[in-house]
Amino acid sequence: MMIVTERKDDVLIFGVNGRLDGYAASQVAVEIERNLRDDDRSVVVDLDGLTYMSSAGIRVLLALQKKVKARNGGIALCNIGEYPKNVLSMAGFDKVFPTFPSREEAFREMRKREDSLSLIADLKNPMTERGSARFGFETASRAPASLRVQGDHSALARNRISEEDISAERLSEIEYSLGLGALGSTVEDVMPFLGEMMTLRSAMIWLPAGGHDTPDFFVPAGDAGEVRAYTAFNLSLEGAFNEIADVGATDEDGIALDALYRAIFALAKERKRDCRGILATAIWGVVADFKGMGRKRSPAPMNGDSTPDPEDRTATNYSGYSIVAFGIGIDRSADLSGYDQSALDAILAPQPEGGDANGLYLHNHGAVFRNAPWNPEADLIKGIERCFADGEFVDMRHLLNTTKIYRAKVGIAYISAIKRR
Amino acid sequence: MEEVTIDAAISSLPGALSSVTEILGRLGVPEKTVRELELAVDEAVTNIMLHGYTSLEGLIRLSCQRDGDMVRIRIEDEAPPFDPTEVPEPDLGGDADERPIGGLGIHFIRKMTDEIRYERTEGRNILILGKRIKTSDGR
Repeated sequence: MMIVTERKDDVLIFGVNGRLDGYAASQVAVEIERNLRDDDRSVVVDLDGLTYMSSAGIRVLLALQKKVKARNGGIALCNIGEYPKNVLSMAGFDKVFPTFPSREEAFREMRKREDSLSLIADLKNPMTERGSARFGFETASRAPASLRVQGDHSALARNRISEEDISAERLSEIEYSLGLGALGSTVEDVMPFLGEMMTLRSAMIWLPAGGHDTPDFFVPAGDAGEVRAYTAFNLSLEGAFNEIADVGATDEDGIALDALYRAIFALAKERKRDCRGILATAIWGVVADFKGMGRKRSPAPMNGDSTPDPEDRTATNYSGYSIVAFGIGIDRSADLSGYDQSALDAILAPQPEGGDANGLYLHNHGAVFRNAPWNPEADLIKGIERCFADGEFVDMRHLLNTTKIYRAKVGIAYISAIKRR
Repeated sequence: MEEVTIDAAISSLPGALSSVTEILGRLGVPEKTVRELELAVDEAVTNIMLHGYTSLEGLIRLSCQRDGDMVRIRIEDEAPPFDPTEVPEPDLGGDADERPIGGLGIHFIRKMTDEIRYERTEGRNILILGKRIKTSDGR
């Protein structure tokens, strides 16, 4: 058995030939799992040269069809030989899968579906192209949004965090935030584990420092009022998102996080939004290239030693997985004098971390989930909640600016003030 | 009678099927009948591998025998008792992509064979799949 995967104009094409027995079917299932992005909805399965198939093959096709149907998509089979045709009809499945005589016809059919789906989306929301992505904006809250800062980012970098710097935050009071923290019962308990954390809606996701490189995903059951996260540094959004952007990369490799922020800043200026140089964003999307890192050690001095750990934990690449993220972007070329300077200084990490030569400073944390299907119709909050409820949690990191996404709903808050706690 | 013993790991399925078809060919079973029996054996053996043995340890013995126009394949395993002949026929109609898919394997076995016998002897499941060689198929 041979399986060849190809992607053309948003249609995923699997070519399966040879013999599809119970063993080969398990390999095909793995190959599908590896290649199917969370936003794929149109799949062609070309059975040219397939000479044998058992019920295990039907199961794999059926599982694939169910998965994409749940996303308003579908599969199309083509080039079905005599043997698999008989097997399908014996099982009564010949009418279940749309079949086409050639790969071109199957592809055209799938393309037609993609075109009509994107036409509907375009009509609803006119798109503007900028920096290798298309953007459609929807107004959300008109109330001004602000950022609340707790702790000092540069103290983290110097590993100078002591117990007095830790604050206990009620999870119920921080909806969108990122920082460095830990879950635990006392301040002493959590000190060795302070690691990258983010809260999104009611969930907390964090990567404990020390020990194993295993992130933790936590949604408090029932009343979250009493659950506290201990944080050494925390940036949280006060207020709501002002706009929701529907973003689709025009480059087939996706759009990088820094390019995304740059485009949002530029479009804000053009569209005369009240943007003073700082944005907070929440992202739900499909990641093209996940580049992240995490601290190996807690920022507290260990045995009196504060020297930085040169090695960080890096994440493996998760392409095609769902991503949820929260973060901020600062356009340092803008006039930032209207913001509280000490609060602004507390946000900024010493260079080069987060900064770049063109004056863009980013700090974003992101988590990846698998099998939380992308739905262009769903809104940002539904999408995030769907990842938490249905997705398989995979990883969480501080996002590098080179992280790329294929498509996303991006909640944008134009920050009017930063408050220090 | 020719036989072959395999590990109950799904990766040994392709080899097992090619051994069986080779033996059937040597027994002078026509190509079309070999292909049909192959599917029946695939379904039976895959089921033992995936659902019979709970661990990866286990053996499956396959033996083939021809009596005139009757060819029989005997499949033996030591997994917990399971009688595939008692599995009800699947529902092959209706809103097909939503219907449960269980029972498809045994349905194929029934379609591909003329005789199915099951017995449990000395802690072993023994499944015998028989097929009559039609004279129109030659030989």
